Amino acid sequence: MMSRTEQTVREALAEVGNLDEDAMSLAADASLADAGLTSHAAVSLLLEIEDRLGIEFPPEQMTPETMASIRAIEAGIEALS
Amino acid sequence: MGVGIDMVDVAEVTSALERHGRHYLDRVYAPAEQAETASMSPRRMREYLAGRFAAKEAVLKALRPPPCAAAALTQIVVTGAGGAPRVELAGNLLAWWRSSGHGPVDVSISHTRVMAVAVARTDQGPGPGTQEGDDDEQDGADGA
Repeated sequence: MMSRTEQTVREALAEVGNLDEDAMSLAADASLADAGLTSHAAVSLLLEIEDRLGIEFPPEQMTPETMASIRAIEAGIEALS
Repeated sequence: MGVGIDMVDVAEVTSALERHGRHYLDRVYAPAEQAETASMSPRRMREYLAGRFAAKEAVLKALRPPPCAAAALTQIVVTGAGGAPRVELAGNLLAWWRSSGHGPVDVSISHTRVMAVAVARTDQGPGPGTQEGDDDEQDGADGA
């Protein structure tokens, strides 16, 4: 069962990620860089998630590690709460 | 020596501006960078922003700061529209850079209407106190 947070991340990815693969079916631990997420698209994705969830990522979370996979992003969001 | 390179699709900047507007500008670009766009045409502004984004990423790749110095992109300020770009660091990234032994950061930016690319380079000197007689203070304080 997909969590609401994971659903939001996937929908945001589908909207702004410009991935080579379907964001809704991509494995949660798959590399987003390998799927085609550029450094600029990663920032757009963070902004999109912030808008959708009403949160703000601190600078220390705006890193390649946080954006490595859907699961990593989900963990970063949960760490904020 | 540290070297970093990054390339940005201008269309991605256009999309981010249309979708996120002020939120995008304020999270990525410092006030000094935004001020330089004031007199630019919309097309030139998009190219400028794409070039600045590429430069910021290139600087991060060249410096490779540790997690404790993780920086907001607004802490890497690349000004000098129409001339040689000048890099300034701010906040915790500047504090880390001052003690890292890195020399000044040089950046070169180029773009077409479609893509922007930037290369950053810095000399990696000795860490503070690791070389006899070396003064680890960086002259100019905030000019990287």
